[in-house]
Amino acid sequence: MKNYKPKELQTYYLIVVCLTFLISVIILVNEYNTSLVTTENLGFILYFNEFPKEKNNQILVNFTIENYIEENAEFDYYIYVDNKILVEKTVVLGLKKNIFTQPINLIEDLETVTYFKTLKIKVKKGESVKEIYYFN
Amino acid sequence: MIINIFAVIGVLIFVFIVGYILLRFLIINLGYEFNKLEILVFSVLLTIPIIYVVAIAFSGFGIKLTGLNLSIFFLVLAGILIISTKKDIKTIKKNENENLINLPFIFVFLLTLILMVVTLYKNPLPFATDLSNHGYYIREVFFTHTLPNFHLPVFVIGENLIISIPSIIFNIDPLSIFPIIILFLFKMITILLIYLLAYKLFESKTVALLVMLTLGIFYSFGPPGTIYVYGGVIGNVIGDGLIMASLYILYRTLYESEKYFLFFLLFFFSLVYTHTLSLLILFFIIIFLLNLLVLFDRINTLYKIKMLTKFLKNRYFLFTLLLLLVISFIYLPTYISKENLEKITTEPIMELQKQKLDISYFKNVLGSLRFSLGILGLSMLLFSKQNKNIKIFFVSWLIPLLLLSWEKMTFIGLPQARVLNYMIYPFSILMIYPLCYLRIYKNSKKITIFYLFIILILIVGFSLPERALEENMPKERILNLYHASMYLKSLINENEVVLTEHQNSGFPDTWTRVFLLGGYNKVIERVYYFRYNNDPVKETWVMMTEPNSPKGLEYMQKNNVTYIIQNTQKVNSEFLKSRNFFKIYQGDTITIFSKK
Repeated sequence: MKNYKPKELQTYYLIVVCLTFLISVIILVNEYNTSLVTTENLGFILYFNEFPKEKNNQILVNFTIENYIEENAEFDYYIYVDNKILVEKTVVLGLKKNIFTQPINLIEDLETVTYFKTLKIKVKKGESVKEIYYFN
Repeated sequence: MIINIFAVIGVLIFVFIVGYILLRFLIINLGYEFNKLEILVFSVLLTIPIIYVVAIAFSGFGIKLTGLNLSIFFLVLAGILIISTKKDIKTIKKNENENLINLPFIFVFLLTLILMVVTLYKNPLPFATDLSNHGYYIREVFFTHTLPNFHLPVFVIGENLIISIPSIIFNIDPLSIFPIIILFLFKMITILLIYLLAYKLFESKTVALLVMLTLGIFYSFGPPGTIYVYGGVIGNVIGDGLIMASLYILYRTLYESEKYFLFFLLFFFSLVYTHTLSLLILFFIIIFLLNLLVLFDRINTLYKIKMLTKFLKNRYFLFTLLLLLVISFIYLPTYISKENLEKITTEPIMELQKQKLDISYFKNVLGSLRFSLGILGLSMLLFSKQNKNIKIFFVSWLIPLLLLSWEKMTFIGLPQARVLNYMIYPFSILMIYPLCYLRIYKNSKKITIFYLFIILILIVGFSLPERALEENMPKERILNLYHASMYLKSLINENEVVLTEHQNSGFPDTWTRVFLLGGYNKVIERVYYFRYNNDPVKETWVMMTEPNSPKGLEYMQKNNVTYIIQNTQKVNSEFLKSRNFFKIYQGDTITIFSKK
């Protein structure tokens, strides 16, 4: 076995110190990057892409359900206009963004009303319920 | 948000190389003596003043702080320094006899490193309020390529530049773990400095190792250790390192050679531009040290002062002094003005709790073991036959800290606990002094190994699982906040403002500001008004608790509040019942309302 001089050893030990620190940094950055994309505990998120607009007796409802539960998970969603359910659907969603654009014809769907006051979207996945709403 | 590991490694190399080139220049041209460990430590630390000088000079000349400009400048600077360094390598003097890096050192260093990494590994996503406050300005510099405009004088330019300049050069978004990595680097450098300082004082590697071990292990759990790293207490972390470096260099200036004063000047300058509290503490330590030296060692001190005045005429020193003076003419830290100094000292933003300085308070901050052994060590040191220089050094280090943390001194607005935290360093050395006094380590190596082993078992066995492995903020809450902030970023207009919960919200909502940018007051937080002195924050309280009251609505209008972030589990029902607000976003942690 080669006998290292103290001077050489100092250099080698210093390299060990620096390399270990570098490895620690790599581990931390890797864990950070991994944590950013590890979203399974986020459940699901519901939000408006833009606020519902009324044009020519029609409301355009544009919203997103972001699914972080599992691929091809089944969700139920309901759209209420002035407390009346106008849309009731069961959808199978992929992971992450699922954008919905739902047109609602006020005269046909609400019969007598041509102006809406409230619009609510409710999404259910098992026990978990999320809702968003808008007042006109 | 996802960052490139190679860019981060590039930054670490950059931080070392920039300082190393200057250090090598000074070593060769002025004949400094540094061992390999000192070269590593001071190379990293010298990068701080270089970054400050370059960034401020750029701003002074109206040059944008872009990656290209900075890269070219640093390359040219490195080239000039390398070319103007004397070619006669034989003039390099090194303390090669001090084999400070040995196997026990590697063992203790690795243990400290692992303990810190374990804690950081559990908290990789930035969430702390302090880090978000700095993060905002760091990101502002990153995107605007100019120096930031601080909303409060307590913010100091350096604590932002030290992260924003490398992030610009290597194109790493500071809205990431990057600031934590930089702080982690400086924390490890501080640990190495403590090792160097303990060795310099007591000339025993065993004592220095034990100091590093106790401090390093302590660092894994409480302030000012890892918690300050992931908490983003940038000023404190860098300030600690600069105080240690200044004291170490001051000691060498006084007892080895006056030429080390050049390094002291550089570190003192760095501290002026980094952290007010650390600067104040170092200033008082120096005042006490000089007074005590004149009092107890008059002849030697006067001789040293005479030698020092001779060195002040050295052309390298004069050039450095002139350069730093020019820099301070271009940009003075925001706190250096009569008005602002009064604001941050006599009129703190937060109400300070005055705590009587009794033994239990010391034990609370320093830890019972450290406090008891430290007091024992201090008593033994004072009554020992140890060199009086060391006694004067420790007394000058401790008295200002004691005075500044005294409850009757809080009229100058310093937080007691934060000042007391600075005592951890001298106490970490003093608690090992009994070993040094009794010369145990000289009698038997086995006893030292035994001590090391016992401390290791005690600390790792009892504390690590409970505290170091704690996840301080669940990741899903942080991620939901990040998501909600990006959603708001896509929605919000120039004049609109976000109101968030802040205190006890259960998620790191101050980070929304870092995502949105567009002004520090783009996001205002509900705060407990009884904790703060200035009136406007009361409005945030009213807006959040009584949003439908005439006052609540008036304040929202006045402050342009358009979006309100709440904890989904603790939504104020006033928002739900009202037609004044829409609910536009809902996740498990975050709910966002929009004002009609």
